[in-house]
Amino acid sequence: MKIKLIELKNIENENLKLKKLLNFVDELKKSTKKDLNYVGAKVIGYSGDNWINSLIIDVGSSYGIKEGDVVIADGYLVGIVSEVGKFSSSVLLVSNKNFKITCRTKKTREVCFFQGVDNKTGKLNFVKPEQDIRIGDIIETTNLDGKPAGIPIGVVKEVSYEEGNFFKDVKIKLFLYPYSLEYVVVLTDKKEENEKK
Amino acid sequence: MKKNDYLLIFLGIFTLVLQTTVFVKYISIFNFTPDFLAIFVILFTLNNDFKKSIYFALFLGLLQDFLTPSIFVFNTISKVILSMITYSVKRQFYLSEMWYKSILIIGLSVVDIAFKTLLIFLKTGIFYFSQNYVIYIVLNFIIFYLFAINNRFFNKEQYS
Repeated sequence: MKIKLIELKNIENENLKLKKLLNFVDELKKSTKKDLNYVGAKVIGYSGDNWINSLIIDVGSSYGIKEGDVVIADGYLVGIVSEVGKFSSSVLLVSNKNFKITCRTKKTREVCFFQGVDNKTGKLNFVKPEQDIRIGDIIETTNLDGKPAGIPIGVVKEVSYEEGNFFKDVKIKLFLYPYSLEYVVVLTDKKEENEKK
Repeated sequence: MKKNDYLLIFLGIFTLVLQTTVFVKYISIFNFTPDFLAIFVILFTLNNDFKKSIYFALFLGLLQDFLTPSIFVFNTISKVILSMITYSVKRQFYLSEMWYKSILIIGLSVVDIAFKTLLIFLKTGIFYFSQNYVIYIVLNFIIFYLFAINNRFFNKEQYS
């Protein structure tokens, strides 16, 4: 009886998580103009290394996944598909130091370049002193590099500028803690898929 | 290869699977998990000859790198370096005392951190050195100690 109760609770939790994902996918479908395919995936592994942050998911090329596809969870950016196998793929997380993406601030639409630092923080590169970026601004993806726009990455935690420097130092607090994720959604471009066919 | 070698290879793969699925998620303090594979390589080197240890470190490092995107042979080089240092220290000191082994695991964890930080700096331009690396050293130390206490490998005769 107790085991059944625990099992039911687990199923309930799983349902809640999946519902949350579906809700965000619906919102994204309404807001984005791009023709996208939404592939749900389960997280089956992690990099196992403290220095390189990545996830392994249970969908691959057989589901139409390609390198460079955007991965989201709970409404936030998780990372980008970096390696694709037939039945599984590797996702380079936003928290990885190798992760770089063009982004913008939600309020002022200032374009900047995001780079991951560690599991909780990232930074913005090449931010000019005249760019209007303030603490509390939400950083989201932009369609400048062909990715779907408007997916939140993190929030500006610290802005500093030393006289004489070319660029500002901007620290970002990430929204997601990658090791708590169980399910993610991979966004693949329908157009590219059709062209291949 | 002996039957024992196959068993160790299987154990290595099993440790890798556990590290990439369970340990990262559940044995993590301040986002740091102990590197069970590094500890495994060190223990293996302490009890085997040079050639065998290097091959084993190379094999486990490559396996770990196959599951890690972005910097290829990152773990392979790190594991081989750990194995080489362990072997050279093993030949110079009498390593049967737990005290010496404790210094060895702390020293090797520091080398591991320094090497990986340097490699990431060369690749990404970010020199990130966190105080939390101490946690990584402590976790490696604890796991190594737990293994070492109940390990048949650590009989005094082997190093005398």
